[in-house]
Amino acid sequence: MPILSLDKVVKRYPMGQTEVLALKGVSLTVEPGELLAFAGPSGSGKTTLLNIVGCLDQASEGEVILDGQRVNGLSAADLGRLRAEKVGFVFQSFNLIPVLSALENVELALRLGGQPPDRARAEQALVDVGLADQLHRRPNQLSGGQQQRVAIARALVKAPKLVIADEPTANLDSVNGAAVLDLMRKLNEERGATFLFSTHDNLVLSRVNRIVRLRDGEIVADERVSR
Amino acid sequence: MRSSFPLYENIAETAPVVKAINDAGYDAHPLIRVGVTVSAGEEIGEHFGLLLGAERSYYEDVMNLDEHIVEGAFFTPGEESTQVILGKTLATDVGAKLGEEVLFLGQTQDGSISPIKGVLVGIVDADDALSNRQAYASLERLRYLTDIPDGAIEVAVRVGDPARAPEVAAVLRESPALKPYLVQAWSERPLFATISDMTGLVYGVLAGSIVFITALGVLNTMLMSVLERTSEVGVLRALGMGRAAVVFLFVVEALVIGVLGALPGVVLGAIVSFFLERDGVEMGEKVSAQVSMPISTTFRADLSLEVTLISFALGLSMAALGALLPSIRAAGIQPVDAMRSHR
Ligand SMILES: Nc1ncnc2c1ncn2[C@@H]1O[C@H](COP(=O)(O)OP(=O)(O)OP(=O)(O)O)[C@@H](O)[C@H]1O
Ligand SMILES: [Mg+2]
Repeated sequence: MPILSLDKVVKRYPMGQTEVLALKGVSLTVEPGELLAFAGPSGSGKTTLLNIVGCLDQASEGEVILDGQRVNGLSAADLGRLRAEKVGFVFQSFNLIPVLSALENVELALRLGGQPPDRARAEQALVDVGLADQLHRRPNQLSGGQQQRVAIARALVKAPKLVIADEPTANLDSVNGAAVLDLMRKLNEERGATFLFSTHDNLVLSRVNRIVRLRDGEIVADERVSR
Repeated sequence: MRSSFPLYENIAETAPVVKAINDAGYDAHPLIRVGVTVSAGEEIGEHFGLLLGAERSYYEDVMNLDEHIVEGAFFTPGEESTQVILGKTLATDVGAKLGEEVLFLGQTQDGSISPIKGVLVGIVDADDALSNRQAYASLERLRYLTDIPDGAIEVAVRVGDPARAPEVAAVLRESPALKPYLVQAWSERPLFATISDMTGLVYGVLAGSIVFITALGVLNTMLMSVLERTSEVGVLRALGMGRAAVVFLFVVEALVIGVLGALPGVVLGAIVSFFLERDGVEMGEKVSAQVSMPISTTFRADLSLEVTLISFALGLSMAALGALLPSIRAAGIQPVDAMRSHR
């Protein structure tokens, strides 16, 4: 069973009197354990697509099925529950809570995901991303690469089926970007979690198993890369 | 020629009035207070003042005038009808010296000019502006000046506890001998009624403005705080936090800030009020001289537990109220905003 399937997904944004057609009927199937990147020029609809897949936003038309559950027509509260349970997010600008330590950021994600607080598990998640020595640092005491590792630990601690990362390397230099990607690739291989990226970055494209190219809200290419 | 109306309403015979009040168990003091010009020495000045005529017992027991003499002495017993005492301000204005003869020009009740004289024996400083601008003489001399041989303009009744005045007034009103007259407690007299209405209004406006400004301040602070944390809230929402939890978060934050603000505020205010109530602040003769009322020249606070608690509760509710709109706004932040907010 695919982890994700999209059928003729359309997304319109109202813009004053008219509307913007951000996605013009996207159909796509993703199998568990894939490491997939959406590529395409700015404005092609990558973020819009990831938001819909991650249950942050609803499609205007078409069908979205996530891990066997139909997402269309769910209430905002149900959508929130589904997202907390099944999806982990890694944001372009890390978006850690600045007043919390690395460990507390990871613990918070567990708790908001409806799971009992578990310090040992949160610590292990940080150890897995190579931050065993930085557990009690605040985000502003960490480098960009380290912050993004905390964000990855936060996304993975509740063992989500799907991890979504919108331009995860855009705010990192190439060395840190490569390290973060290698980490995600390793976690993908070891855990079997499905990863969906969006990117402009060739560094990312060289490390994924599948590249879906978008242009003006449509899929123009879908390549599998064997490594 | 007599005018058809007396210039001032008066009590033609005070004896039955005083008796009725005494029978009811209270002290009674006939008083005559009229406007006069005051002059001393050679020149006839243009100084206006109030001249009070009362019995010795009123000056001693009610006004405590004898204790406030700052120059000279109180009335010599038996010599009251030839002596006068001046308030400090009036004495300075007129330039009267002890032992000098002071001339008062007033009007009888039917309007003719009427003079009396007296030797200045003492000067008082009574801690209130009006008393310091008055002159004091015997009731007998004022009866002569106003041509009301057996009467007075009013009869003052002394009640131990000022708060009981309206109650006593109600009792006296029922006395047959007092039926023809207007019986009023001090708090019922038009001047005081107006003043207490006005202070009520001033308090209301003041409290209202403070509440408004506080709420506005909290509103502004919390709106900024929500705006600054749009992406943080977006992340919390993306991670599964519900709307109600977001509102709760910001209201709790506002309440904590409210307590942290209101607590020191109330404590500080209470300390300041405590000293203002105990010691007061002397406003000085200059300030009080602007006011034509018998008010103290010392400014005092009125501290009570009730007011303190109300202020604290008000501070907290303002914080909660000011936080409500921003919190609802925070709950409106969509999780997609976390994805889109590029720093
Ligand atoms: N909230 C919105 N309201 C209106 N239009 C929007 C909104 N979000 C996106 N769009 C429009 O939808 C289209 C796709 O935007 P999207 O952000 O998905 O592109 P993208 O591929 O992620 O671009 P980038 O590489 O710059 O991040 C664009 O034309 C954009 O202007
Ligand atoms: Mg984008």
